[in-house]
Amino acid sequence: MADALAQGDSLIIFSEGTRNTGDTLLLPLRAGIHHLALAWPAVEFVSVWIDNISRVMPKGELVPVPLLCSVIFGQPISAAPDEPREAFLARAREALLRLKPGEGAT
Amino acid sequence: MTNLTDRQWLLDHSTLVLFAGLGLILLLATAIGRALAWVHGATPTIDNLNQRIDAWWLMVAAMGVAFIFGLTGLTILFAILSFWALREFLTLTPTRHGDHSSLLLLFFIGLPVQYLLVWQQWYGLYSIFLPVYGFLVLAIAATLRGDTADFLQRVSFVQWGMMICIYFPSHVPALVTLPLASGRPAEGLLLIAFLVIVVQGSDVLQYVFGKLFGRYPVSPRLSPSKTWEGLVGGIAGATLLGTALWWITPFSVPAAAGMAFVICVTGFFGGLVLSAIKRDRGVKDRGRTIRGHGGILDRLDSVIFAAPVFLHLTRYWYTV
Repeated sequence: MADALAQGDSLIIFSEGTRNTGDTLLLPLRAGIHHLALAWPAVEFVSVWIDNISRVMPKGELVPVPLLCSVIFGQPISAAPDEPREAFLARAREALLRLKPGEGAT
Repeated sequence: MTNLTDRQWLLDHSTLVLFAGLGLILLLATAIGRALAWVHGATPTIDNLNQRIDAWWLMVAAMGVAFIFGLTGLTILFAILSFWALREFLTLTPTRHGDHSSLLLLFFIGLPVQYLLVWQQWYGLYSIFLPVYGFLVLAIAATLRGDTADFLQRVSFVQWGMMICIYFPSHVPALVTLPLASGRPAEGLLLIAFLVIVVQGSDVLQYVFGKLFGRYPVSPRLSPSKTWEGLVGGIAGATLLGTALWWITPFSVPAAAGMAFVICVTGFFGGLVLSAIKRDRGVKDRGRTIRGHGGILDRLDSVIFAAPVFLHLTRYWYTV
């Protein structure tokens, strides 16, 4: 990951760490993005909400259903140098949930 | 049975006159729309009008292509429209993981088989395949995963999607398969032209009369833009339009008027019912749209309700 960032590439991180199989809107985010944010202070995190994706191909299914999905991009956030892990993850989570269609301004 | 393999109907006088007439009307509408935009600038209403006219060109072109390829072309065209409509409908409905197999059955078995049956002109089976067997299979499929949360609601969503996105639209190509008493080769195709022109004419005229004279909404909670003035003017105008087209149909002049009237009324209620569904799903209230994809159900809503009624009335009185 560090190599890719050093080369100036972007990374796509699914920070729930797995596919959501239940009724919860968003699983707890894993701590990896916080490590990344501390190691690369200049890197911005752009939140992306993929609506409907869990219905297209739930975990354990073989064939996807051709439903429509929306991909919604949010404002970039970055971690403050001494920001604790919980605070940063809570902010990232907040930024994601704000993108969900029908919630707040989209 | 209408013989669709030879292309006799291409030389059919009625078909040529009809498409030439449509082309002229659209040219006129396009000219008026562009002139309005040029004189008044791009107001939202005029933009909307021009978008509708452009959509009309597309529809007439699609119908023209489908006519050239006959029943096969129409079946493929409406199967594709059904697929889009179903995607749109199911995207808006809250299904759960337990519905995955129901959704797969609908997209990959129900839809192609229904249109295959129409293409085979198998009236006895295409008219009961989805409402009987589709209904049962979807109900059974929903129980298999053992998820009982909101069971009736979830099954109903999927069954509604099946009926309004696949079963009813499939009656449009089915019109071609009717064994009409007159036996003219193009007559089945012209029935579709009659249906589509009357339904779309009714929509357009309701919109125009509503914009010009509309004051009292028919159902303010469902669809504030539908007014009594628009409804009466649109239905009267489109009924007259249908009556004037009696020469492309097997109907007499009064029968053409009656058919056009029934098409307009069922079409209007089709629009109202789909508005209610969209309100229920929160599409209109929350302004949630699927950008770049939306609108296929909006275009089809009146046809969805009118097509099966028109098919059965025609089949009862005008087939051998």
